[in-house]
Amino acid sequence: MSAHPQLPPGNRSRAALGLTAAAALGRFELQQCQRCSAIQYPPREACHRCLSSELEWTLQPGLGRLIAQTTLYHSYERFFQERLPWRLGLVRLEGGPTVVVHLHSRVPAPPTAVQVTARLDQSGQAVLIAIMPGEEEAMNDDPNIREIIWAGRMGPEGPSEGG
Amino acid sequence: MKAVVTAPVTVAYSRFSSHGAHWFAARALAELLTVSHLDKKAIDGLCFASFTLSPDTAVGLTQHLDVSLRWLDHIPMGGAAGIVALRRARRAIEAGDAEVVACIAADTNSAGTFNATLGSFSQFTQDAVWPYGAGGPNASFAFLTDYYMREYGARREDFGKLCVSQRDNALSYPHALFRKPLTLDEYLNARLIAEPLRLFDCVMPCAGAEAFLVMSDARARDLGLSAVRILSTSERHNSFPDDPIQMRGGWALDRDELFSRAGVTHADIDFLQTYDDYPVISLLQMEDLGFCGKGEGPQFVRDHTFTLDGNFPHNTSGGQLSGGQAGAAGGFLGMTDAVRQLTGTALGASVAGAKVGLVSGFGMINYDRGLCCGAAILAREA
Repeated sequence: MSAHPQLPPGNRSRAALGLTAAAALGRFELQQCQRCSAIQYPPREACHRCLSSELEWTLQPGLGRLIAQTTLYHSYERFFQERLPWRLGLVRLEGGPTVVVHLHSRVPAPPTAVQVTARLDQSGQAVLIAIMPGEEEAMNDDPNIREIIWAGRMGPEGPSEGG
Repeated sequence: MKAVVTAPVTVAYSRFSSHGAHWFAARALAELLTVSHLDKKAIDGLCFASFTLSPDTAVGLTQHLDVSLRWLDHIPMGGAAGIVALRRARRAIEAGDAEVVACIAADTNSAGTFNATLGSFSQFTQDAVWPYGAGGPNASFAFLTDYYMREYGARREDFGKLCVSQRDNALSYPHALFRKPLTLDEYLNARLIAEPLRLFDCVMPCAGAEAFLVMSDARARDLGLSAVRILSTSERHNSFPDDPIQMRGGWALDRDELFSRAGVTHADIDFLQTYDDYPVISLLQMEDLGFCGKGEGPQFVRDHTFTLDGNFPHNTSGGQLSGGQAGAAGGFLGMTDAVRQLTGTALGASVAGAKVGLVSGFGMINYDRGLCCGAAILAREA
């Protein structure tokens, strides 16, 4: 269980904090190697290809293909237990790595094109969300997605005005 | 000098335990000594695997159990631990680094330890999987199953056939936690866990231990122990990193050499032990070990029968899906029961006339795929 079970898990490595720093500015960035240009995820301390430590967080278009999905009916964390069922996807980014995402309800079954974006979740850390390309304005149509990114506006303690 | 495997032991599983992993390790070592009639001082090597020994490692265990060793290994390889332990212990024996190596996997289980293990399983899990629903391995294998079904036309009934057959095998195996027959209907209609996975697709975590000894064939003979020969083994880690999703494992790289060095063909294999925390991974192993081609797993399942008396005996103890997953001991289960099957000491029903068995291991979903693969072909003593 996370330290604050009313929140999604907030533990991240130092390497992963760049994702959160960018998401706080509304940007989806991944580490890119300055020597060999490889883009990688999950975040690391070195380039997975050439082992250079010259990594820079760079803006990503986020286009990719949903290759697998699941809907959870069981979770080990209370935040999710209270919000089941919960939909997830596995997305292969164009020219890049495979990412685990919260999967928006408007996205059809794989294989299908999706757009990956980064948002802060209620714990104040970045999470990746896959939506239909160009449908960012429909993000809040999915109640689970709306809930998990709520704190992006409300702060890490969650909703402050009685809601 | 040839190293052999002997003295397979199991410390009875329980769903939860208030004992620590050290307790299960101690019980396993004590049972190894009982079975082999060896004094504790005769054990001069230890290869150990566990998820719940924290804050200790195998080093701490030497003092905890008061064993003085000249060869020690701690392998964090989960479902591949049995194969890897066998490989390393064999090298140690054949190089003269040790005379008797105890290979032990021991884990405890409580709701607390299991959740803690999952959430901090790896840095990648913590950063890039756990915050996404905290579904643990159920979610990871749901992705692999979803993809495999769509890509290769596998049906729920195909996975169900393996699960039902394994349950049949478990009915006579005394350590299995599930010993009630499972019907295909029950399998198909069980509650959803992580779509498309339902309850009986998912291994049940538990506490327990598995262990065996590796020593020279001469030593085993002197001790009057029945042993099995190691015909060949293989091991791979992070085998196909560029695949978008895991649809194959390292076995695919090694199977030809595995069989050629063993001097046997697929037709000679009397039973197969796959690592089976979820049925999809058994299909990948059947394919990648060469029993059928890639994507032919579903048809292979439809064409064969997997019970002990079937035409393709598979997971002779019922596997983890019926026995429970005692942490890293789940990676030993196929090995210990293979040794029993090949020495005529099966605890339940046996595969009639089994001479050669293949044991496969798979472990460690570090992020989106299992990283450790291994296999071993074992044979009854001539």
